[in-house]
Amino acid sequence: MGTVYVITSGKGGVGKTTTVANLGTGLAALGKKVVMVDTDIGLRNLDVVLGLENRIVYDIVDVVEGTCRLKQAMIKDKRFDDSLFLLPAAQTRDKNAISQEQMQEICGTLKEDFDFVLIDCPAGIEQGFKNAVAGAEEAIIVTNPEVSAVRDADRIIGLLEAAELHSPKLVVNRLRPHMVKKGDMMDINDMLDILAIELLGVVPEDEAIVVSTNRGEPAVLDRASKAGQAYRNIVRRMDGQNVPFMSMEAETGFMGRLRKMIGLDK
Amino acid sequence: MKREAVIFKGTKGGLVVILDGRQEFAVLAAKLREKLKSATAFFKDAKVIVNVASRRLDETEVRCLQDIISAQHGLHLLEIVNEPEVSEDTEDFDLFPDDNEVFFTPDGGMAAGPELERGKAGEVRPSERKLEEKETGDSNTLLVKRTLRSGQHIRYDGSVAVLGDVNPGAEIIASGDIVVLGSFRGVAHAGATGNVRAIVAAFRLNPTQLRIANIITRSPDGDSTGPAAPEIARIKDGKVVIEAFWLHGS
Repeated sequence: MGTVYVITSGKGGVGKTTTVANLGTGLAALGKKVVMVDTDIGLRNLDVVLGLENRIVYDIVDVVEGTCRLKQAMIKDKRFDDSLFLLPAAQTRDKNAISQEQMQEICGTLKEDFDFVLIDCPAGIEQGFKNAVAGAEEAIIVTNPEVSAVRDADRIIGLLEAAELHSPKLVVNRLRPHMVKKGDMMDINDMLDILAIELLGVVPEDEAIVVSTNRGEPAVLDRASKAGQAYRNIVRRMDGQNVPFMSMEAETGFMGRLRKMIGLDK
Repeated sequence: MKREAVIFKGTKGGLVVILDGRQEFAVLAAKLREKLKSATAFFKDAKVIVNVASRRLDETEVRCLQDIISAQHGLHLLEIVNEPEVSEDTEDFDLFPDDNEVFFTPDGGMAAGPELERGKAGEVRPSERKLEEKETGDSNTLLVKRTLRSGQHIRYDGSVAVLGDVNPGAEIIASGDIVVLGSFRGVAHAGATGNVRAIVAAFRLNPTQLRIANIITRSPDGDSTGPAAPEIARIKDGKVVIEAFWLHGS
């Protein structure tokens, strides 16, 4: 019997879909059985980010309407033998096409066959959010080190508490250490001061994410990517391992090292 | 001090409305309507007694009063009485000309500053006990034992105490005082029914906006560091002032 996680944020564009793709892929790489569910009906992205968009025949709305069976809509990621699946959203419908009860039923069925069910929640607090949260047992909040993102995350935590999803975990995405050092970006402690939930991981800003999204190859598989490394750490924490947080020292190129040598940069 | 055309007093028997004996009925009726409208949020099934002093009302005037009062949700006109004019010393807690002096308790009952009692002969008089300056007269305080998140709000008829933080985007609206044992970063409205003696206090008082009675203020622009010690906000000389809060004496 697996666990159903909802990955949500409130604010759009903070990295929920990227996080679901990377956590799903990373957990499968650890040998777990994972299914990712895209509930952003009408604006689906999870399939694109995983490189699976041209394999979609049926989607989650087809399942609830009885057009197909659940197994027919699930797409197997060929990179992982029978371990990683995607249940895509519909693109030609909208978020009213599915109800909270239907989501609960699907999640109940999925958790029997998978170790991890990861639900990609759409931005906002309306029907899409309510659907995504309906079948969930645990919550992961993704946010950026930025005032409006934190404000929305706080709102979401309040709504999750009302939905009986206590103790959500936090993933801080797109951190830029050199900006934090200069005082131009919120640091983790400022965020935890307001949000006051457990920190699951910190993912630094990384150009490799842009490349991986376009190619449909999640960065968690890329040994050279710092964001990938952060996701690998998060995945191991979800597996129960105790992994220390990555040091977020700013990258130093040649000029950076030179400045340090002459004493211009402490 | 200029005598108020319409004065509200809360008593155990109900809401007593005192209409000034010297002014035109039409003026009084208009003032009554206006005052009832502005305090709408806190009226709950209140029985109203209108004291018209020595005035004699004709039928249309009686009906007019009935209409104004029943137009207000939850109010019922119980009776119209002719009591002697209320004595001057009940006005010593009426510091603010156009204010409702009545404070409502959540069970639908009402209390004013110094309590007013109905005597055996039916007259309304101030009770012997003078209210200490330190007491606000609100007998009910809501204790919230968690952090308030963005989008959550508390509207309470009484004082509110929070054991936790109040995050930006959260709101507390209270007829009495607001005390936060944590960081206050949201919006506070103390004395929401018009009590300018209400206070807002917090370990770290850093609200996005602060309101006491009908005065609204915000932190000075450019102040991003926030306070380092517990602080209390109150109205002094018509402005909101924020002072360090010392636990010994006041």
